[in-house]
Amino acid sequence: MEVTALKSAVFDTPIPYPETVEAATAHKISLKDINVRFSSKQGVRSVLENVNLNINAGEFVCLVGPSGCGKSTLLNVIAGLHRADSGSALKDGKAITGPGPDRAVIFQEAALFPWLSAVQNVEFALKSSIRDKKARRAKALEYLGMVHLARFAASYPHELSGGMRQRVAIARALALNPDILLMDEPFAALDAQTRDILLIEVQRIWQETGKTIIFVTHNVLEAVALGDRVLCMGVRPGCIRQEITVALPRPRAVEEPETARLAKRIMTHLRSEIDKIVQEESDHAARELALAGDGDPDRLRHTTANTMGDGI
Amino acid sequence: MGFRREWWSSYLFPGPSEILKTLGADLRDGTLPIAVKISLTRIGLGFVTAMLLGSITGILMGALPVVHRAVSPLALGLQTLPSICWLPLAVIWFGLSERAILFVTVMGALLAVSIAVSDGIRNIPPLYLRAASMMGARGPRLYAEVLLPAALPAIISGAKQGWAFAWRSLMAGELLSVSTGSLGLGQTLMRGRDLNDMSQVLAVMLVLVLIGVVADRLVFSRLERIVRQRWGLAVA
Repeated sequence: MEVTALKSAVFDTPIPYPETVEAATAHKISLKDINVRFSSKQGVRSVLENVNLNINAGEFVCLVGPSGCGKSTLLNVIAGLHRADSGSALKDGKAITGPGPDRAVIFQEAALFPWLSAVQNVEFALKSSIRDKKARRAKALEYLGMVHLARFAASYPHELSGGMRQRVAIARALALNPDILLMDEPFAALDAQTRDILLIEVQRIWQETGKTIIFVTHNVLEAVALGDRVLCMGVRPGCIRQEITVALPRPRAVEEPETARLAKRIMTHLRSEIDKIVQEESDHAARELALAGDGDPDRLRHTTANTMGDGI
Repeated sequence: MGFRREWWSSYLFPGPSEILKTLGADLRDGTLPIAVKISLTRIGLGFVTAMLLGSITGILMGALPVVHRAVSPLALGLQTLPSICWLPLAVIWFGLSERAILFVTVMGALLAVSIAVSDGIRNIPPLYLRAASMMGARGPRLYAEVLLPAALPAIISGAKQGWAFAWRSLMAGELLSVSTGSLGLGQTLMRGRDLNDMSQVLAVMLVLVLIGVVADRLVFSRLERIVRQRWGLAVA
């Protein structure tokens, strides 16, 4: 990626939706009629269609859905890393115009800088807020302490395990002192045991800091264990299909029967969305097969382009 | 062995003992130490200049697609040009002078360095850039604290290549401008040829190889290993 691509992600003209501004001020995040389309050689495909979502301060919201439903895109819209084609995205009543330290993102990969040690990575996030080097180091160690990694302050990312790296990334995100933590499948690349420990950790951190957390995952169990609210997203078009409020006591572990029961209920709903994808893919394959037998390459190409336009 | 059996005469290919003897004599009378010093000064100057200029053009090419599109075909084309081809141009511009040799040395390394730096910057994982922008790093800070360190492994490879190119260009330059000023290794080598002193020629060649190996082992390979390890690119 070229550096200018980065610049284009930091758009500077706010989306004009003045009439919604006042109504939305009560919410931490307010999304109204968000539409996102991706255009490629196969044509334009709609990723998000008319997504409406309000999130209150201090809420823990999980977005679940099958891959391709646009849940990460939705998170990127809130992060300011992706601009919606239409609709308004407001934070505290103000239009989101680009990425900023008030909305820290934790990516699937830890995204730590490999040339910096764990504590230096956290210090990077503190550079603009704390000028004094000693104070900065002390603060960085404090944040590493929150994720129980103070002992590994001097280690470099490649010397840490995947789970530890992700914890450093959480410490770094917290060091930005954001109002909102945006977590994009942060545990997807971790083994099950590590993930279970981190699920408890994240709940503890959320309770201690009172941050608003938006957590994207494809794992329903994870979503139920973490969220106050679980939003199920569907495909074609990508939108929020169902909203489930989770009122189970915390901290919740994935292996608790209550968690599992609720997850199963949500899963049944999601199943139909997944079936839809599978059905579409097999339809597509069958059509291609039939056409290949037909021996008309032009028609094959034509149909393929059309189906791919719907998006996979 | 070939020498002992007199398969060829000693003035075409002198034996190891004779080469060592010449080497010893050259070391004692100061010819070699002075030549080494002069050549190393030249390459030091040329290499540092090439690194500076190459980094600047490389960063511009890496950061601005416009510059990249304009310059990179030219840079790639010029890189295939043997650096010795710059010599006639340098001689006309600067005369048979120190500056002509320096120019050839710089031109030999410049393109390799700038291509390596620009590729290094263009190949930075987008994830680093997103993380940096999320943490509010932009402008000079983005360059100094994210882009350059992230591109460092590529920059070091570029430096290693640049050094090798500079060294070759310098020798070419020195060989062809014997008459200019102080005598570097290349000129000493050429003088050996002029005097039909084969052991001198081979002695200088030996020194050239030695310097190349030492520079690579002690500086570049070591640097490369440390950086690759730290960046998590190699198994520790």
